[in-house]
Amino acid sequence: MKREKSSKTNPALPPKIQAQIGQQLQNYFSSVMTEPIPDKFVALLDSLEKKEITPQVADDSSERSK
Amino acid sequence: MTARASLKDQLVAELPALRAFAISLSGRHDMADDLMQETLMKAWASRESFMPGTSLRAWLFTIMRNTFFSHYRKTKREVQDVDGVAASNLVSNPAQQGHMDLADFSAALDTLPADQREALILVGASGFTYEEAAEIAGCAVGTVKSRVNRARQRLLTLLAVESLDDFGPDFQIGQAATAAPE
Repeated sequence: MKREKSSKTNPALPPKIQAQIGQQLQNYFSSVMTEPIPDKFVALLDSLEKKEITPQVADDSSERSK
Repeated sequence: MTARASLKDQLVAELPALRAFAISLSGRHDMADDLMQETLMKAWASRESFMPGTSLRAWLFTIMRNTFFSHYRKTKREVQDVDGVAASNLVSNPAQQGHMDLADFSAALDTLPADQREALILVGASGFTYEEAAEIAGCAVGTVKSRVNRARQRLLTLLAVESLDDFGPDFQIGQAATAAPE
């Protein structure tokens, strides 16, 4: 909390340095972005979607057959 | 029906950005994938709360960061760098290369406190405005700015070797953090 307020003693960095750090960050992030996505995530979304479309069996009516 | 199908397609389209956020935030691929899975399931379960016309990415990132900060961060082995040991190791290596490679940058990112890392990624890499980042992180805009600024300064000390050449022999690392901009 104290650190949060101490930002006044840490003025913004010169734009050139900010730009350089920003460039490194973007290089890093875009390299991660281009990693192939494991198939399991698309499969997960597929199965979530299918589950939703399948009509749910009403509990009451099936119980009543007893 | 088509609306539902297109939501799934939109989610698929967001997977690369979402995964990049997961990896950057957690610093680990195995944890990132668990985080991805949990985020997708939560997003699907609460899809009614997504307001069409707003940013799906921002909505997903919010779910992900809330999930991360509520469970995953506790299990993360964060690099505690009180003595600056990790920092000095990082700085000494890229000195010869003149450029940090991506693994070094990732390691540098990992030494940041999670809230600063989050702010920096949202604003500096994911293309969100400070206002959007504040909404995602659930804090004030000024807090995001201050976190981003501190994250940059911290990274500067790790990336300093390369930067110093650009600022001439008089430039000291300390000046970047303390000197008022002209």
